[in-house]
Amino acid sequence: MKIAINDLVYAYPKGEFTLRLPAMRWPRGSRIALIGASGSGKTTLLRLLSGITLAGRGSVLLDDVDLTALSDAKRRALRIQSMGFVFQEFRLLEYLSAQENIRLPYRLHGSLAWDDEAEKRRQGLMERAGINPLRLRKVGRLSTGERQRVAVCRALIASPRLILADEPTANLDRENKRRVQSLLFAESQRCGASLIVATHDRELLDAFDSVIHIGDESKGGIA
Amino acid sequence: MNRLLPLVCAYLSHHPIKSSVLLGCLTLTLYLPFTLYGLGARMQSALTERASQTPLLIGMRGSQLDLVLHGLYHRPETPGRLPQAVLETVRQGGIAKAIPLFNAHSAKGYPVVASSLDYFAWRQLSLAEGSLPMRLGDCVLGARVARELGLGPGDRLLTDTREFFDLAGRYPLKMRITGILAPSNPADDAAVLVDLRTGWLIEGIGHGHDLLDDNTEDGTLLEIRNGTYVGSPAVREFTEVTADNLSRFHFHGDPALFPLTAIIAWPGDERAETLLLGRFIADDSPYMAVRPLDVVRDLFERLLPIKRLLGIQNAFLAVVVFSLMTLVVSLSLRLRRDEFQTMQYMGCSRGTITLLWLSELSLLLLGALLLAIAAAAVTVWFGSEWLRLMIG
Repeated sequence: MKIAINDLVYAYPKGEFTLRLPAMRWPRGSRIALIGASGSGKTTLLRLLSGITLAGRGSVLLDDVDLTALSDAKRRALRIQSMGFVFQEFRLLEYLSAQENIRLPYRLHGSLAWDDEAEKRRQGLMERAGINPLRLRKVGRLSTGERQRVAVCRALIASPRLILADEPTANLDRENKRRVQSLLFAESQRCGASLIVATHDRELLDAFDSVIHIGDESKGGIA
Repeated sequence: MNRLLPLVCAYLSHHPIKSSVLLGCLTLTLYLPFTLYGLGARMQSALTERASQTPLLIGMRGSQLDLVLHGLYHRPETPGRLPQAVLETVRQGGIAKAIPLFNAHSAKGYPVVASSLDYFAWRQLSLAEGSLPMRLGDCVLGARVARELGLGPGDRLLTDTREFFDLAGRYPLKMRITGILAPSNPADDAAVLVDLRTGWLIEGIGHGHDLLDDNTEDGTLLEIRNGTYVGSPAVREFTEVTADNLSRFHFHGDPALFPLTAIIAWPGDERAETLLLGRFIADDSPYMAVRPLDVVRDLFERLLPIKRLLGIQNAFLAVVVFSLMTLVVSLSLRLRRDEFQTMQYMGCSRGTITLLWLSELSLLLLGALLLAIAAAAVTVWFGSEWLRLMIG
């Protein structure tokens, strides 16, 4: 998905901080890392890009469609059909099994049909994430790392065109970190999706096309 | 909807206590009115059915309801006793058939209903075993009586003593059981049926004792007064009718004055019914003729305000329960705010989230409805049997 940002300004409700983003363009299939200190606005930027949060000024264009001009219903539809989001706090449904959590987007939107291909994709993703044996277990009984991998699989299951991941490897050991990273990269490549990852993990940065520093203008970042 | 159902089921089963409490509250709210309605309907139908099979009942003037419950369900309460001569008044001119009833005694707590053999045919009572009463002192047991007392043909059943301390009172009669009725209706299943003359024997109008004649030499013959042999209290009175002593049983008094407690009458046609009612309509007549169906309908009309009151009470209960449910649901929604927010972040529409939430409520309501219907059906099934046993 082609992404363009035009002079976004987002003021936090309590007014303590304002995120300003200059005009930026990323072609389809871009791999972008967002780095910066905690509270610098990485999560906010991901939310602005997905349309969960709307900027006070400026615009976000996804494949030339102005997100800020869309109705709430259309933004939601675009999100569930075209985006995969790995939330920092995972946001899994405790009462569902791992595989049902992964299938959740299909449950929530009629345009996504769960067929054999989707089932194969689910199986493949879980195997590659190393959690397939746990597929029937309720997520409340999984470790933090396992839950995180379930959240990653959920974001990738519908073959999104834009993958937004907020600290997707924060709670993982080296082996699983490598697994998740390769999963994100391979899937984004397979789907031709753009991948935007907010991370603190500097070991990962080499794999990205561009790295954006948020909140540190002295390092060429944006604030 | 189908795609959301697994989510709904998973959520409900993941919170069994909350789901059970909600289900229980809803079930109870629906169960009470269903059951009351069902029991009322069954009771009305049972009473109406039997009443509709009995065109007219004739008895002493008094409570019509007592007469109907007595004549239809063998309840002991009766407005009084009427002489057998009234039977002839009913039959006079051949306008109606009549069956006499004399139900004033009991055996082991079950009513002893004395009538003619026509009663068996009219109520379509059939025998499961044995035969109908063949002679004085015989009885036939209703199915429930036989089952509960464990008696059968050939066994004996003693009538209850009316007044335990009345030494001058009648002896109980030991009746021979000749047959057991097939189960039919609760009233007759719980009755002991005898011939009218046996009923009068239990009443003490008739009796049997040792023969007193000129050859009596054991001192039991006190005197011969105007050709009548007067015996002493030592004369042995029979408490059971047997083949040997049957001929010694006899009745005293004018048969026209022998008591009945009710008469079942069915006139040949509408005109005959009007004529028959006319015979008992006079204000100074000590007797009355009632249509049981009218009495039962009147009873239910009188009960209608109580039914309405119960309806209002149920409505209040429903309001309270639904208010509590609203509270529980709103608290639940607050607890699930994160979950619904996640769905919104993922792109789920507001409509789908509302549908998901409504589906949960609907599923609970459906479950409660099914449970309430099942529980009410079971209660009505057993409860109506109990009610029918209560009323007869």
